[in-house]
Amino acid sequence: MINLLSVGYSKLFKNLAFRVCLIIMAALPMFLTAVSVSKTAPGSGPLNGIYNTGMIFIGLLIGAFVSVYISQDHSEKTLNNKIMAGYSRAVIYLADFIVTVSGALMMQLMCILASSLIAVPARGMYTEPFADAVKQQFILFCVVAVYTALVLLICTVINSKAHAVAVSLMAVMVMLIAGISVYDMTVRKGEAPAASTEVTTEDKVVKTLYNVLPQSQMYAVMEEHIPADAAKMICYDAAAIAVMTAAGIVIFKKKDIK
Amino acid sequence: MKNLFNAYFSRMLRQKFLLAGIVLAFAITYWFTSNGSGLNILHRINSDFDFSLAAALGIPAFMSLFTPLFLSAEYKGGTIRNKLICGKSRGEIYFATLLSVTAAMLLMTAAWAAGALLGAGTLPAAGVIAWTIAKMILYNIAYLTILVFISLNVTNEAAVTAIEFMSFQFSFFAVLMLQMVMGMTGDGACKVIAMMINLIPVGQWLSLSPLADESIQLSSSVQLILSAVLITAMIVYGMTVFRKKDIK
Repeated sequence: MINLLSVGYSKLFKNLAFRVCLIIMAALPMFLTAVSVSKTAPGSGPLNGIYNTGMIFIGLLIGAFVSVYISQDHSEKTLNNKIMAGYSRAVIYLADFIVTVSGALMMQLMCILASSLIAVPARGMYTEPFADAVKQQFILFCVVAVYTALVLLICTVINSKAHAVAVSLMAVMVMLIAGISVYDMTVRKGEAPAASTEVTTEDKVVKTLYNVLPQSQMYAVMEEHIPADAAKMICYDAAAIAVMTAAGIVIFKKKDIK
Repeated sequence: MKNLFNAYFSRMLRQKFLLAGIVLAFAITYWFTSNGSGLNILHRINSDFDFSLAAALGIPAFMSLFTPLFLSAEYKGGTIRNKLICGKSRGEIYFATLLSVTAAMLLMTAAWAAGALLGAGTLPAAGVIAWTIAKMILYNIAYLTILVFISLNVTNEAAVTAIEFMSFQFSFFAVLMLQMVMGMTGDGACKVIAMMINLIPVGQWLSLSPLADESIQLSSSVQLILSAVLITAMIVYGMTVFRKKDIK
């Protein structure tokens, strides 16, 4: 496992798609932060939580980088070599997951760093408690891990690499739109005057989706900093990661690798 | 050239993904045009036809997925090499490829137009519809020249798919951000940003759609010229790079 991880990390840092995604994850939050800085008055105080703004695009970037990274393993036949070297398929899959999640975590850290590089000198150091910031980042890391597990599963199920990339990006985009829509529905429901106390089945479905979908969790963190259902969200994420990884390992074990 | 185009076109018509896309283009446009009034994010609505312009974003979105999936087989199966061995020039291959994906886009546009015209309760004058469709076709061709350039010059099929789909996503976010930045700048900078938005094919979609601010709209002739400039530049540059490419 250690050998696979060390090879995986060295391959990750050489991967052009990963480097490009890191650059985008630096440039985009910097731009969004600069816009926020120019929109607020100079004495308006620190921009707490601004470092999360760039995260809205991370799902798409994970979709691109993970699928290209995994397809490289198949096209260069490194996968066959790993199997011939005696590594079990479960270990290979888990090593790929750990490496890609680490890559996604680096993108998340890059987002925080890039935003803070503009926000802190312009508006001063954040005033929110450090523990709250860590909790927010932990929830966002769970979201990032769900996206990574999903893309890894898709790349395992689909043999054609071009199709795997296309389906991964589409799946991430659909989850992104669904998450935004569910978040929007929940917010509008809360803002509605004299909201009825009766809880319908539709409300329950929307509420569950709000807690389950990674993108709505991300929006909840951005707006509420620490959502009321944070613990539930983390549990759902952990369950989703476990189910998708287990399914991926089972499919990968049965896959005919040429 | 004619043989190449015929070969591409007949292969293209066998693509289930394209057929599904055409059916979806019709269904989504029809639904959007007849139910668009419920969407409160749209403005500057003069007729139901304006709702269909928002749904027209589906054409470049679909092409950004279809083009790499359709053209990735060229390098994978060594088809391009075989065409060169048969005596076809690289210029012929480039143009036949561009023409075939343009034909796919025209089929999508026809499905979109059918959905829009059947779904709309009220329509603008025929001249307005014709101009709008002409502008749409031109900015979509401009986008296709970029997609074909990438598809024929990058050999890694997974990377091509990722780059082309992400190019659509990012140009979409970029034009929305540029529109947001416009609200914070002066008149001079506004004109430059409006030109930049309209130079991006997805930006021209935005300026036509009911999601746009009036400030980003340029006259039809300027939009057509910008599309023509982008098409010419991308074809010339793409052909130059493709001619120098080492094809194995």
